[in-house]
Amino acid sequence: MLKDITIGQYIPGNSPVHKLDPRTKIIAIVLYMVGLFLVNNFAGYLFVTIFTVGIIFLSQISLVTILKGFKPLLLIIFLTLALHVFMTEGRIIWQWGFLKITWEGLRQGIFMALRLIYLVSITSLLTLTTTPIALTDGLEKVLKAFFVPIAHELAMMMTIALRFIPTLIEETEKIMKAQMARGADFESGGLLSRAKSLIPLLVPLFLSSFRRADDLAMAMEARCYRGGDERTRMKQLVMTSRDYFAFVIIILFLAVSIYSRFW
Amino acid sequence: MPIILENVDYIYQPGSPYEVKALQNINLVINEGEFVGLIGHTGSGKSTLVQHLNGLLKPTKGRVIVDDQEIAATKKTNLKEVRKKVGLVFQYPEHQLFEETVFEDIAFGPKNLGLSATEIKKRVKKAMQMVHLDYDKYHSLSPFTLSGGEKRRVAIAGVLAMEPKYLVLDEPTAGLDPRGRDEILAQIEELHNQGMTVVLVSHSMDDVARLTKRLIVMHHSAVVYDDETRKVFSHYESLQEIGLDIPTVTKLMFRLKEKGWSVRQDVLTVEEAKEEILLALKEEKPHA
Repeated sequence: MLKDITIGQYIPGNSPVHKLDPRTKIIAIVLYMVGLFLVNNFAGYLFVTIFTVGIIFLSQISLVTILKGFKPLLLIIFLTLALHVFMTEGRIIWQWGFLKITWEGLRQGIFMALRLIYLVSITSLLTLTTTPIALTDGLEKVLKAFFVPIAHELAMMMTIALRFIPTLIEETEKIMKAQMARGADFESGGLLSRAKSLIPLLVPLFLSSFRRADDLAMAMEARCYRGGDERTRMKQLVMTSRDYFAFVIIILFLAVSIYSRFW
Repeated sequence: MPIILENVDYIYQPGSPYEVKALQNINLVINEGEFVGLIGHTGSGKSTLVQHLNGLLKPTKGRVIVDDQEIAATKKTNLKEVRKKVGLVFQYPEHQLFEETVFEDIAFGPKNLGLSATEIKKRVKKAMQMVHLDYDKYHSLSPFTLSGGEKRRVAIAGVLAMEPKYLVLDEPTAGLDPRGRDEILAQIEELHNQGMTVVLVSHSMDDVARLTKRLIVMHHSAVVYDDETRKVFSHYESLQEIGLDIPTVTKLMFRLKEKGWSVRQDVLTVEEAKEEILLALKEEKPHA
């Protein structure tokens, strides 16, 4: 059940997307997001859709894996869609009491939902095709390039958080099962009784997280971790012609997205 | 009535790239009053199998029958009823403690069963007595202030308070010091002597040899041996091939035999070994 969450998972592969430098991927994603939020008509969305599907195809990650990442976000996506569809003023297509669907609302809702979907697809593609270590290195370098003062610490925190998502999920499942073996019921009952039923889950989970954090800090210190100063890397990040090519493509993408506004 | 597993298959995350076949065509019967050991190295499917016994996992194929309740992939079963009958103690059960006092924590199970306050108190007292925790001394303490061994006993009492007919323990002694280990094992043995059916998952061949009469060996998601403990350990070589060991005393007898002593090899305890060696000494001197 909880194992369906794929945030932060890495799937090994040898695709052109896997081989890109993490810095390229991070910067490209930022540019992609700018482009994604700039397009505002059907032609633009068609272009973004083709581009996104193309990238996913290039990465050789199966569509199913990416779709699975949406599961926890379905509610937000539907909520966005519904709010836009029902709340936007404009030409009315359908009305029932106070509920009305407008042409503008439908359009806006579908656009916003698509934006969310593409955003999640592409960002999950980043973690799916990049090892956590490469991701931190890349993030640290990018942050440093923008003179963020605690770049290393931020990047390290993010990696640790990502790294522990699967562990936490596993732990949650284990504790859930242990409490279910004692007759706990997490699935039925009203909102209040369900919230209450989470206590036997959350208390042990917090405790084990703190225990884990302590252990990790100790293990890192035992291996002389002292923050980012003077740290060298075993694998130096190198930009290749592949990366420059990717930059050209993403800048073209951005240019077309801007241009599409005037179609 | 027994617990029956019929042609049970279990697949984790079917249809995904992470698909893992964890159980393959498992057929088992666990009878009332038995003390069954379950061994196999990490990843052999032990923990998955154990979770089928109380319906935490449903078989992908085949069925599990606990007394008269059938659990199968598509069937709706009253799982609460099953979990009342089959108590499952997970690895490091002390990690599941959450209440403010020992009493409250042990009472969690009985409360979920919807029992009355007096009945709950009675059961908590009984469960604490079963694991040798003094009620007056411990019931109002916070479980988090206790030692590792005591915490584990509280957690086990939490399962016992549900008064299960079958007790399944997944490595109940992992991470305990020798004394804590001996205490827990002695209490489990006592529970069995009082008539409880026990399934013990363990990595310690010595413990399994000492306690159980029947032993199930798992390897690569399948049951490879299911026989009397004594007979299973006579397959020394094939057990070693799948990465398992035999009890230290049994190994000693195998070594002696290799050196030319005429001793029996199906020996499980130090006492038996002593008798056997004395007998061999009387009969003949070794050649070398």
